[in-house]
Amino acid sequence: MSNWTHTLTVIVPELLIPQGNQLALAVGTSEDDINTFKTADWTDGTSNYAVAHTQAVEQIMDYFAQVPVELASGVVFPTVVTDETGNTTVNSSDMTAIQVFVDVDPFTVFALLNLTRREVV
Amino acid sequence: MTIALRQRPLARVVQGIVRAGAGCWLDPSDLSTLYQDAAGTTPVTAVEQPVGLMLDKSRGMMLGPELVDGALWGGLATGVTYSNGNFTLTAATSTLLAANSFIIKGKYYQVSFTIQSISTGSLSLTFEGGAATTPTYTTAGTYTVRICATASGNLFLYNRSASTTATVSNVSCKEIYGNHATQSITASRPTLSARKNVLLATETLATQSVTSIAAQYTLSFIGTGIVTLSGTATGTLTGTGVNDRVSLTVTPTAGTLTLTVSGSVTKAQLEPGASAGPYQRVNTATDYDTDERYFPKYLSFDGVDDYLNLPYMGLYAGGSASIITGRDALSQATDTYIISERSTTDVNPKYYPSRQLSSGGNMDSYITDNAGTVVLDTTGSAFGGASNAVIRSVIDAGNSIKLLKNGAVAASDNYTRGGTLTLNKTTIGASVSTTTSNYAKMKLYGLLITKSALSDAQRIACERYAASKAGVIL
Repeated sequence: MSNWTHTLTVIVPELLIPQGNQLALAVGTSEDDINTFKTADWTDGTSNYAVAHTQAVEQIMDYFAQVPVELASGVVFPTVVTDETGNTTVNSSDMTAIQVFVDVDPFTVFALLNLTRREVV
Repeated sequence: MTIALRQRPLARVVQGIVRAGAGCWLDPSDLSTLYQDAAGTTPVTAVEQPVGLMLDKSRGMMLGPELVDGALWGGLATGVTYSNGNFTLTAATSTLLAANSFIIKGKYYQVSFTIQSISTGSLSLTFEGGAATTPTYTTAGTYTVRICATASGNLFLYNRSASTTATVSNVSCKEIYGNHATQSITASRPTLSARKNVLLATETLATQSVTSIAAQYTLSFIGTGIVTLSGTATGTLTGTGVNDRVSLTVTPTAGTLTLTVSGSVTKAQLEPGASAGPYQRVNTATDYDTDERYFPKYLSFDGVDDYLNLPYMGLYAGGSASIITGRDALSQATDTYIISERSTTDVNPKYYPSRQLSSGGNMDSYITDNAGTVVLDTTGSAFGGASNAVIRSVIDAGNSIKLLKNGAVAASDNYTRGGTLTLNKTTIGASVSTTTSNYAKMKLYGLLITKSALSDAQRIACERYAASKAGVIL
């Protein structure tokens, strides 16, 4: 059985792309993870965002706990709740911070945050 | 006179076709070709693990000549002694066992060696001028690793500790020929999967919500309970007993589909498609049935940031090319590409022989030159609506391009190659130019590429093979 038991969807405001890449480098598996966030090609109509979606090992939250505090302080972990009629809501979202959604379908996250792709040439 | 024809396994036939076409054969069902990281240090051992390296099988994983020169090793290394085939690395942090100077950055090598004995500490492989690779070797044994060269020059077996003494023998380093697919960024790696049933804890179902796309799904279960659908689709399915499987086909919108369970609902399955197939037990997202007879393996690209890099293959520049693949056939918000060739310095030249259009589930071919002038833009042909695998073939003969769906011609267009295309990048599942975009959300059951226009007989053999891997009956 695989130990890649989680998924992460990470939303990074355009101005925080360097910090997002530092975070990816801190919890990722490759030196090239410094290039995870390159283009803010998603938008909510007001601000632009870079996004990533990835598998994560079961200890991923332990890895986040070891991220330096000056980097971790800019990261939030919103949650998504679905009620019995299928209505889905997001809690603790902060569009000015790096947001990490754990085990939520990425396109559900994008829809909840009103994010759509934008063309970047 | 009697001529006896020897039956050759289809895989061997396909290998010969792809190899002769200087192409690439990627097979997600063959775990011996899959690694979690681009460097090839961590094998894929189970479904739901990321795939950072897929080795090309078209050369049969053929190895090149031996690159290790025994005499050179003994002569070059500091702190190394040689006796009766054994190299002994003695206590010195800087002790290196040099391979040779024939390593080429970006190529893949199979390195093997036997550690006869080792004291405290560890050994590791290091490319010249690069960081030590993982894993480290701390115990005696025979090791074989497939690894990407991060630098040209020498490959070293590195004694990592001043207190270590190790005796090593049978050292070998050979190139693995082929066009291997890689992804070095963790988040951009596709995932190996065999998941068909999108529910969790299916043996005895509890109320749960799943993410649906706008496509047909079929719900089925055994038992006397009731499942009520809400959210992106509505409906009720009532069980008829412990020996009966009941089913209900719905077409939800994209979003969250909730299944509310009452009573006994066992062996439940919600799967893409218009009918109920073999039941796949799903315990958790990483623990489920993977019997290949019923649940073929595929690479799952997430549509957010997943793609794979190939060495630049020059499919357009070569004058002709063929692509045979099994993948699902759903349109997304943007156009997506199974294979694309672009330039990393110029957004204009585009070679999209297999473009899944954003609307209507159609597929076409599209080419522009360095000036942005359209060379070819075929009329889209219907490839949509199927959320399970479809065998797609593209045969570009240089003056005509043909698209086939499950072996039947969907479009055939003549065209004239005009202008200049200066291309340098070949990718799977995204378009990589000055930016990376158009990430495909797709299930890729296998991929065969040749730098030649396949004959009908060759194409049919490749399609039959791809179909067998994707669970498609042709």
